[in-house]
Amino acid sequence: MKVLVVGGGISGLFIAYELAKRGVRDVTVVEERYVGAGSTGRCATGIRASFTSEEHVVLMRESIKLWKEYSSGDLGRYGLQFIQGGYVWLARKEETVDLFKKLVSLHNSLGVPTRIIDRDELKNLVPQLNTDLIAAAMFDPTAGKSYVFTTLFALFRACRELGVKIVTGVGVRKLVARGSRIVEAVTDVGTMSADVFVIAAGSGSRELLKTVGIEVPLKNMPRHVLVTEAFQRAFDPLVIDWDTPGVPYIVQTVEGNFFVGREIEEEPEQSIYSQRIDFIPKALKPIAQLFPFLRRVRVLRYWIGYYVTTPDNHPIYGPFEEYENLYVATGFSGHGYMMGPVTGKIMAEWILDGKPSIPQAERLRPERFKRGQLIKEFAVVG
Amino acid sequence: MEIEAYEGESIAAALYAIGIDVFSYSSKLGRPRGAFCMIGKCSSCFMVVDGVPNTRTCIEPVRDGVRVERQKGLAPVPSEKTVDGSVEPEEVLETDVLIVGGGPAGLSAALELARYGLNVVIVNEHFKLGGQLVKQTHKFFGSKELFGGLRGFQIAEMLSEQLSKYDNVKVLLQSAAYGVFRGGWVGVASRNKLYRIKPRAVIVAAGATEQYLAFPGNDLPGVMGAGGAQTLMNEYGIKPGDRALVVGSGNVGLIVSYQLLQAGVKVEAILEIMPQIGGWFVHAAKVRRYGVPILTSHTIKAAWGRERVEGATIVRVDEKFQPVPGSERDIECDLVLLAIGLAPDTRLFAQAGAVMRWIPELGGPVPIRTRRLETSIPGMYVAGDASGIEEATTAMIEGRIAALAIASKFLDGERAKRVEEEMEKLLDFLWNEYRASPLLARARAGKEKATVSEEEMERLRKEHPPLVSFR
Repeated sequence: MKVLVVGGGISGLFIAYELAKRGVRDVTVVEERYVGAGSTGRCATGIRASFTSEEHVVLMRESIKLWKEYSSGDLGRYGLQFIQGGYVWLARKEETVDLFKKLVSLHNSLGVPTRIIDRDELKNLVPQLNTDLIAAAMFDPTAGKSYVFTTLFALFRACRELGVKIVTGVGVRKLVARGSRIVEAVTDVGTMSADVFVIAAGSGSRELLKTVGIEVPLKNMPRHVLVTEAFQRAFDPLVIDWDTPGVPYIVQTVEGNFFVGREIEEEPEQSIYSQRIDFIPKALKPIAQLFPFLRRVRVLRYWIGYYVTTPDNHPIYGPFEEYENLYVATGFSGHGYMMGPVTGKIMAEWILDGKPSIPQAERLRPERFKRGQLIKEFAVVG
Repeated sequence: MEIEAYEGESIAAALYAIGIDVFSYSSKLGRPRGAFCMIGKCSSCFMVVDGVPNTRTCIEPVRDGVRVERQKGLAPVPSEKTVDGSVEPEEVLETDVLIVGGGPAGLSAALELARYGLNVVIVNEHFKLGGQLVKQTHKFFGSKELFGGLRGFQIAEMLSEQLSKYDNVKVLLQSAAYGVFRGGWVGVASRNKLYRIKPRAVIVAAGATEQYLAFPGNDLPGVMGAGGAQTLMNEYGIKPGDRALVVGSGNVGLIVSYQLLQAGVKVEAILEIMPQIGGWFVHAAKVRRYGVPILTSHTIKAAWGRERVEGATIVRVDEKFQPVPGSERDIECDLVLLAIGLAPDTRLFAQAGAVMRWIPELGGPVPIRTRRLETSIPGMYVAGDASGIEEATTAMIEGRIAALAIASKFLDGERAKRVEEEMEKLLDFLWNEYRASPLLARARAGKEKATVSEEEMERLRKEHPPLVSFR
């Protein structure tokens, strides 16, 4: 079987990796720019299972298992690290604590051991946090982070070792269908044929799928994040300021820098090279209130990446009804990096076994939009 | 330990003067690091100043009671105690022209604009204006209008003095323009305050950074940019070492060697990788008369020492610039100065998305610009070394040209016409007289490559639509 994966981000690479590990000999990843050049390399690297939908919680519970497994396996040897530092969801208001309690019981019923923690425990976990402003917090001890560039490098090496061909600097402009089959992809340098086509092209997926008459309701939403200078390890969890509009967050990277992000109002498709001066204070003000030391910390860089969003903030997974050999994995709405391992696993299952081993993934097929079977998720951060 | 220092000295200079070589230990391998560029363009002099880590001590002035600590690897996050309450709220400023960089180009531009009554904000990273003029102790060539006969630091003083007479010029010292943003905003970070500036035009005259060379030991204290040593000697009167090895025989390498000799430093050798000396004969002859060997087809292989350079291994190179095995030689020295060229500081243009091109004659990537020095970002101009490495006199002329180009747009009627004429005169002088000198042939060739017609610029803007505009 010959598989062509369009997109050399976290999803495309994990799909190729899984397929190759399961014995598919001829896997090619074709990437328009360089590995991780799209939303992957621009993400804030958080990994969590504390979501508000069963689909997300279950898929991410599995993804975290894989992150752990991989970090001590072949990918770990090439540098992939998973640091299980947890996620802390701060409640400034009492009524938020009630919401968190409901979420905790959902998580717990699905095997994710989140719990409510008080200010003392919070202070132990995050000593630099000004807990005066906090009522309580929800702690997800299974969550963590993984440095995006070492992960990409590890995947790249492992894929190549498994015989995956990774072609960079070549864009796929269009797909060509014959009857119910996709027969080839037209690229900048000629056509590529395959038995199976997988679209994991992030912000480029919508336009590419249009070339074979498929409309997916994707919007590319610019999301902003900044990084500070590096310091010694200060605290492990990713901290989310749930009660502030735009849900600001902060996380310390493996290298010691702090990522700080916050959602600010943006138009879809706005260029990611058009930075906004108001982002930096908007992101830092609430976070510096919680972490006063940030007032003496310099910002090194600030950039924008797309959240490739769907109307229900869940990914689009699986085969299409219209074609027998076309699959998609995109629309992660800001969660593509953390879902990478489980994306690889279930997509490989779909392609090789005809269905995913995680039944919840079935509910994320592209047809759900036509049928109005949307899934609710309101814990989207950044 | 309590240290005495002169007012107006940088912390790094004050420490160097009393023999402190190691400012920090690197974050991964714990290697000692000391002074390198001395003008705020690198990260070699990071220390913890009053509890704030990663402070560039070369552009931080000494003050009574300031507490300075050596930084060992990554610092812990600043403690609550050091977080004082003196952070001021962000200020929104509107101005006619924002000038980034208070060196020869920036100051000349500011003066020109101020003279025409336009409002100007100058942003300067150092605590002093003047850029690299302040360490130029030689006399300038040329007519009186070009400051011929004056020394660089005198020109800096004169320009700053003239500028201080205008109340339509706001100078922000110890401030950095950190980015160009959607809607034509420029962010400026001062010590305890942020500014959000909306200018009608911007001139970036951010200068240059010293080029680096890869060899084992290149991060040892005592390995320094030639300009770094000049700052120590010429600006602060500090002898940078006892025995120096200079890498590069361009004018900077030759002049710094002569200045080292004047400061009482023994210059062991000047290395030149090319088969011939790079700089002018007049400068080479001067150092040779002192018995300094200029070794052509030679380069540095390694620098060694524990917490400071104790010596270097040099090697001869063949016609393909490859080391000749067996030709290595050790030279004992406590100073290795890199004088291998400068690179334009064009970071703001790259961030703003200006159309840029790599031009070796100019030292690296530079923004494409029109003759009037406007780049593909409408209303964003470039002048001085940031437009491509040349020298201080052309920097001052370019600063004035950019200023006049802007003034001709902002003024109307008769005045605009006069300004336009003045600019044309300057352009004519710059291209047809000053740059006609064979000594500037290389820079001239580079600047020709970087300069396009107004029509070509419009075409470039269509091909790469600017995401931000100041017009």
